[in-house]
Amino acid sequence: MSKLSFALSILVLPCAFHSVQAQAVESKAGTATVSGRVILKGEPARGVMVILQTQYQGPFNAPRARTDESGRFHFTGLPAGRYSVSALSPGYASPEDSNFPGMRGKTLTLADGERVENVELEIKRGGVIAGRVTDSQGRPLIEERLNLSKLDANNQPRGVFYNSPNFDMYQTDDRGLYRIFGLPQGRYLVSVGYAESLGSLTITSRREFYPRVFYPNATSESEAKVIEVSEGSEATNIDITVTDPKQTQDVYGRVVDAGSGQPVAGVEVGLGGVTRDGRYSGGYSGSGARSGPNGEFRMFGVLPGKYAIIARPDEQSGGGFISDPVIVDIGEDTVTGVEVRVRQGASISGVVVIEGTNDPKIQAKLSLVGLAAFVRSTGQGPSTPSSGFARVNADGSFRISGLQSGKVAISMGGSPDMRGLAIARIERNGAPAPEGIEVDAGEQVTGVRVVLVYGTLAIRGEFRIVGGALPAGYRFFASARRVDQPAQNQPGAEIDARGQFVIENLPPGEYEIRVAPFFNPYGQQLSPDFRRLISSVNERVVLSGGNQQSVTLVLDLSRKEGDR
Amino acid sequence: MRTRQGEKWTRGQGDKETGRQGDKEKERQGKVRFSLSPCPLVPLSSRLTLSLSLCLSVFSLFIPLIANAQTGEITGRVVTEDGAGMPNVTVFLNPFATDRRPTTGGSQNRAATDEDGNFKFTGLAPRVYSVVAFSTKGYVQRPVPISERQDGGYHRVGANVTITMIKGGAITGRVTNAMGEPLISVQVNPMMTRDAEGNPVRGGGGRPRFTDDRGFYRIYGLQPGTYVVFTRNSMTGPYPSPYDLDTPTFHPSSARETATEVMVTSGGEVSGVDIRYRGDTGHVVSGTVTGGDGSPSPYASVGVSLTNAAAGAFSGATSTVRRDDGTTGFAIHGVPDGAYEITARRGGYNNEEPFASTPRPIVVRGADVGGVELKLLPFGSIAGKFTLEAAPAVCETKRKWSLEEALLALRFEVKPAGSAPAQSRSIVNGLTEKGEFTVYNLEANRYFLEPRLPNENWYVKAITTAAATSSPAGARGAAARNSSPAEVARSGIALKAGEKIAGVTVTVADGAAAVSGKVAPAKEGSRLPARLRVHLVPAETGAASDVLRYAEVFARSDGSFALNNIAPGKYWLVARAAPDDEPSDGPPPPAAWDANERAKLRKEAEAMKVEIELKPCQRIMGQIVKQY
Repeated sequence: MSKLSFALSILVLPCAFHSVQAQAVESKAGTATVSGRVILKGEPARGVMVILQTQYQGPFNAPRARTDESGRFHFTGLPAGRYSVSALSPGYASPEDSNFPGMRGKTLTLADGERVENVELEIKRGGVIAGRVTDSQGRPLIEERLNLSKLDANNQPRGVFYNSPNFDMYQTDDRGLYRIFGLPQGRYLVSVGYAESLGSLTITSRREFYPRVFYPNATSESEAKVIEVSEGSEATNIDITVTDPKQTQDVYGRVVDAGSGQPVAGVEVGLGGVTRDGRYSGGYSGSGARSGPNGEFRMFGVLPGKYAIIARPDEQSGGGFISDPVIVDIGEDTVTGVEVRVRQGASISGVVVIEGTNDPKIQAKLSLVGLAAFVRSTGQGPSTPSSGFARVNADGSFRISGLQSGKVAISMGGSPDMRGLAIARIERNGAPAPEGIEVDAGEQVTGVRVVLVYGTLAIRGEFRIVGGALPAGYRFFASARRVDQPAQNQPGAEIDARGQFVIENLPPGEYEIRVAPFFNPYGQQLSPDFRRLISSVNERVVLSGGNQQSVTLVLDLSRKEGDR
Repeated sequence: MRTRQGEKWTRGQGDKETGRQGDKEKERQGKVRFSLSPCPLVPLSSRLTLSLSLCLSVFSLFIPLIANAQTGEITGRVVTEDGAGMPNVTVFLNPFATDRRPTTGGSQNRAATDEDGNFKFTGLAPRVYSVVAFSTKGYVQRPVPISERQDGGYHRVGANVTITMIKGGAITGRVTNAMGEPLISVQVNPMMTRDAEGNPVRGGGGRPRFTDDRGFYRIYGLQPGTYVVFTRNSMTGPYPSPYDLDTPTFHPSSARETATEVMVTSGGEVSGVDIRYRGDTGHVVSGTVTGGDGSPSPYASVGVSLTNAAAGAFSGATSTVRRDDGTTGFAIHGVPDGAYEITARRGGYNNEEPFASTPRPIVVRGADVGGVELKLLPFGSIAGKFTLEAAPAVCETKRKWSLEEALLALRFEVKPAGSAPAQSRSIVNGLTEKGEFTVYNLEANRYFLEPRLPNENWYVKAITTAAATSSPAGARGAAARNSSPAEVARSGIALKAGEKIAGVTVTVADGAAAVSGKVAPAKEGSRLPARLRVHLVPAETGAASDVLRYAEVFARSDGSFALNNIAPGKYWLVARAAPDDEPSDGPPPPAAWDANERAKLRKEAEAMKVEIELKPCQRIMGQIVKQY
């Protein structure tokens, strides 16, 4: 047997007693079809399972098919919609998957009865990095987490996205050994331990930790040795030796009421990030600490660093309060005497209504709606996490509490059951409030009305490039903004591999459609010319009852001067 | 983490409650103070309940500020089997809570051991706690022998706890298909069939691991015992795999019935536990989940699980999807032929009220099973209080105990699918500082109350319910009238789906006696059976049907036993061997609960003619008990 056939036969997943044939898989009523092939090293790969997932159902009951002797797969009976088609081949990486978290395979926007053919899915055998982690005495480090970073186009290290539930592969076993496999091609750095850096909010359950060490024995990224991973490569003996462990610290303190000075029990406290000039910068990491009967708390296992200690309102503590962050510098000692003051936060309450329809099924969706409030502080910077969330009650009433003072923007929380609903306008005491709602410290604002509309219309479109090619490794997004609305929570859709997209669940109105690239951390930087050109692409379309509109967006790359 | 009371997920721990319920509790206790405007200071009258609850939700952060709360410590040490201290082990402390009261001063629910393995938790309110060491670096907590299991695990303030860690065992092997090719990233599961003492267990195990790119897997940190090892799909997450539709393959290459068992010892490694993957496509069990209270939050997760207790607890879980009509669809793939029970659950996290469907038998035989409708029902609760009766005799005691340090166990029967015998499981709940309890998240069943008292001087005198007219026709068990105190103790409390029962009173009295000693074998010089129960049976005819006067406890491996918290009176003692196939994590209900079993027990106890008379506060030691 030739070497290539051997490589192919590894992919024959357990169907040994049945002849390997492409199974046409039908789903619910529909007439579209999708077919294509899976390729490995330029040759068809047989026996590979291919899955077709939709945006809302994910893997649940998603149709699956196995490739036949010619590496072909075939799906029939598909309803129109947005799909992603990907090969399920653990240990193999797909060039499409490596750059975007949660976005696998190729995106396809199918119309009713459409026949999509020649979808090519390429897989490559992933690379392996394996080795052992020991301490300064040569003893194995057990269950120590490995950190992997991948160098981007400018040789800057960036985090790696995990694409499988096998997180154990990034941890040493009881012998101190690890084996990371299925890695896409690239240049990697491997390290163990924690770096004390501004903005990392780390609490561990352990008393000891190791300062970060890169393979083989480097304490900084610049001295780290790069590991080259290519298709099917195996880098073994990537051993790391750590230095002596350091201690995590505990933080002791009390939660008190800002006004009365009385201790407050049952409040959760955690860590927030700090800017270079020592102010709370946002973010929150829970510590498992909660104030006791005398208001006291103890955080266990905090890494040395600079943090803001903040209290977080939750259901258990009654919610509705904000706290003044306390900046602490944790070195080699326990920190004691931290006093966290809490005060009543501002709140916004009112009612949510759905306009333009009396359909009880749609009105019933009211209780599925969640409202998120983001506060832009007008004071001296953020205090607690500057957001709040509330579920709408069955009668449409809501109350979002625990807000700091500032300008509050309200948006809808993202449950897929709410699709079709969009915020048309927000009113305060009858007057429209398009810029948001101003709240003072501790103010309980009432009389807010959030008006929703329900949309069933769609915009179908195509994105075409002329005079050039799209940069490799980028995906694009089409968004639709109602011209009479400020730019907030615009619905949109990913543009698929063929340049097609459909934006659904829109209410009637006039829309402006634009295109933007998804952020690709590993890709080549997009030139300013390109960014300028793509941001100038827009089209307008009017949606009225009963039909869907089509739009074509054209990016003319020949317009830019001095293109590469 | 598995507890010895069985799957935590199936039976709630009773420490969660709905937001509304919680606020009402605080109202009743009258502990809420309003000290900030704009909420007006209003008296606690029912007319103003509505505005009150609004205020409560804002200001309930001013929950009980126990001025000068009395606090204490729990100390301990984590050691290896040779007695050496283990440094840097994280120890978790958790209260047996009934509500959201903050329990610790400083909320220290974690601590790390020092260089000698010592740890300390301070500022603790007088409650009952569990203290557990985090499995670390391949070490696990040594399993507690069955004779010590009923009292272990509950620690009160002032306790000193020693936790022994042992090196876990390891199982390694390779998964390949019929052509010898490796299977990559397939999940391999260890399932314990017998514990270290050789007792059968149902559904224990270690955590699963995945095979690597060469098909190798390594599972370490396992409790010693006997295992079967099998591949499994896990279609609950967002990561589909090519193995999702397949039935499990057990080592070496079989179904559950013909799987080869693997024995794991502490620190030992069993290699070559290879699996030749069969990859038979399993069947699909699918359907709809409906019901639940009102319109569910879109954020509440729905899970459906399929369990097979008869053939060794194969369980499959499913991904679910919400449909536009508000129902939830489910589909479980890769199911092999067999008899199962299917249950849906929703909520129970993040203060979402939990719901569950009544477990339903399902048989899969050669074909998919579709259209299964599971209706979510609310959980019920049982509430009440302990009271301490002023007794004529009070035993000497070094410290003052509070009712808050007692625990209440609710024991209930579980009838697994198929022909496996019934088991009993317990939910353990703590009490408030007033001795009150509310156990939430209870499914429809018959519950027996088993108070766990904090000291040797107390015994349970009576258990009564307030409602004399409750007509229990519970989902399991025969109907009985709860009209007399003896009835409640004997036949338990029957709870219907979603029923909320209150007013249960457990009367505790001072003056308890205790007896300890040893079991003598039936024949001189013969060995004692591996598992032996010692039964205490009231000798007075008037007490023949008073379940509270009966007790049973496992003897230790040397035949010694101890029985505490006994009401003064005349008793017989007898030892009986437990059946070999009785699982150690699912013992049957106590003999005293069933009239026939009780009568049989009385006959045997009387025949052995070991009778004692216990006076208040008396401690009898060195008592010999004969085996029937």
